[in-house]
Amino acid sequence: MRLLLVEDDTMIGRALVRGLTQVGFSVDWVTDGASGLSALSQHVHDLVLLDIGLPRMDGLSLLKCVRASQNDTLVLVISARDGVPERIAGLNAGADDYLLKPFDLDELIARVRALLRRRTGSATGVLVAGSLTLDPSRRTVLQGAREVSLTAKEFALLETLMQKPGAVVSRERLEQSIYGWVDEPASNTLEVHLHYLRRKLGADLIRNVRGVGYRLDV
Amino acid sequence: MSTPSIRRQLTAFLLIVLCVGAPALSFAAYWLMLTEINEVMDDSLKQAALLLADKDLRGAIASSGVTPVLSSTDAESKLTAIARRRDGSLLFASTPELALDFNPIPGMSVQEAKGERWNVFTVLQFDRIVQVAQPVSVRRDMAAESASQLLIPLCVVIILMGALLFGALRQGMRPLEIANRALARRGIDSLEPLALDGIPAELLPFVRTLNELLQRLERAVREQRGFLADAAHELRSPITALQLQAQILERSHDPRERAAASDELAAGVHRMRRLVEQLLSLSRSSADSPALDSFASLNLGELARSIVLRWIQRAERRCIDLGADVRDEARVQGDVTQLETLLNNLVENALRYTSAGGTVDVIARVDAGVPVLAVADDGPGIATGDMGRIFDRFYRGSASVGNAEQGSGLGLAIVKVIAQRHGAEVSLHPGLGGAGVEVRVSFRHERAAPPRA
Repeated sequence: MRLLLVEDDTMIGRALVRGLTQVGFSVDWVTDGASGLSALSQHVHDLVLLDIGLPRMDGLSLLKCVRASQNDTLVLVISARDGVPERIAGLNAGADDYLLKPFDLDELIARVRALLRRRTGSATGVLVAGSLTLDPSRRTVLQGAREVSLTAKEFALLETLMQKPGAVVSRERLEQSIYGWVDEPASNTLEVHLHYLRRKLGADLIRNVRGVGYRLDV
Repeated sequence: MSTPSIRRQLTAFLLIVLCVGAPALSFAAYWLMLTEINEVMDDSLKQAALLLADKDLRGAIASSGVTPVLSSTDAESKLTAIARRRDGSLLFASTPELALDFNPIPGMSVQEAKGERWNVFTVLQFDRIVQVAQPVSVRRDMAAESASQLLIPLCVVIILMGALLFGALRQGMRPLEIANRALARRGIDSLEPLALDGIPAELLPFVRTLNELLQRLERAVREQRGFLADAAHELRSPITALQLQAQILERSHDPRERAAASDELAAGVHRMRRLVEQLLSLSRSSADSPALDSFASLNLGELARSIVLRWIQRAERRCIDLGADVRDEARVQGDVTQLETLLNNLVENALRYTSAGGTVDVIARVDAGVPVLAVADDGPGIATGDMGRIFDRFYRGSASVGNAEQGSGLGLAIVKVIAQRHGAEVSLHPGLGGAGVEVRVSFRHERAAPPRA
């Protein structure tokens, strides 16, 4: 899952990037509203963590611009503005959730997962495809009754594939789910991660549709 | 000592006037009465005497006290009539036991007899002397009695006047009491001015002044609340950072990761401490009373040099050329600690926004008689969009984004407050070589007294 963080406070920004990366998200971080808007126009993020008090363009204006351009990326507002009117304004402008500073890192992660889960239509968040069961909040994968140990990137790839079992997922979409901007992926690293994933789960589970992408065969 | 009361004072004053005036009035009444009674009584003495002179008085004595001319009412006025022959033998006496012997002075006279003074009217007829007499004391008693009858209505008037005055004053003071009650109910939340309608003209200036004070208070309270709200809001960011940094440290296991997380946490704590210090410094310098007694004559050049010495190591670490530019030995009246805080904030800001290889100058000079302290740099300057708000509390310029060490946004607000307390003005000018910015603090002329805030 690839997140965009729009936050001008460098300390909060650094801590959030580290904390979210530790649990397997890939995070892109910009420090002002205008950069946030241009990042969002690329449509590569699953969810935006948006601060309200931002230089160059405040969070609310950014949110209104994004929604006006029919972009329905999930938006979780994180703000120090605690007044009820501010929260209502945030939600009315198109935010999917509102979290007040200071917040607990675990709560933020839980809310991000909850929002992403709602988007994929699974209330429990547990993805099931054939004999595979993937629980994003506990970060566990079961094949039958056997627990499979995966790296963060392998887990992210499998999660993306399991959201639409049987459907072909493009190579770009898979890359976006595991790489932030800072990662500079080499052209064949996606194949490397997929190779290890196949080794752990069975070679014929993930099929390559040449020139299009990959699909989970169940 | 009791508090003076207008109502009590006025009432007491009026009662004193009435209490002195009432006896004076009674005495005047007594005198008028006495004069009147004298006239009437003299007349009746004369009438009685003339009547008696023409009567045949032979055998009258035998009738033992029954006087033909004196009616029973005359007994009250103690009239007594005597008739004597020329030779002095008694011819008639209305009260024989009081056969007084007066000198035969014709007309009205006052004579002594039997230890009393008498008003006597004497008629000399050819064969007899007729005298009608009355004790002087009778007339005085009558006058006194009449005058004393006046005392009761007078007392009633005094009491009524007192009560009326008390009531009228109470009524007159009512608006004051109402205003007082309205004020007593007020809390710090209700500082709106008192209504002026119904306030008597005498009290208007007082109430107006009170209202002005309330207005100033309200502004101060609003300002304080705004400050508190801003401060609470601004504390959220560093606290969020601290909480996240602590949680990250908790879940980092690799030693390198832990070291990095712990550095971050230390930086967060430092930032929090700095913000709290700045808040304290701001609240101290915006305290209402100007601490004029801490003002002393001080040398701006020395101040500039001492600040450069304090910051030189930090500047050198960041490869910034920090120096003092003392052109004149300017002196001002001021608080040395506060002016140091002012310069510290300016230098800290300048160092934050100036990149390695840049220059920061701390300047002391005299511009056309005006002592000036300034800090100038050759950094990025201030974006035009930030100009208007740069002195607002917690406002951070757009250039601060992504800056490694974020400021609290309080530095320039503190500078402004301290300058105001010194009667100085803060202005922004182009910095060194036309680049960057110069923040200039222009004091009043050295000899001008510092203002009362």
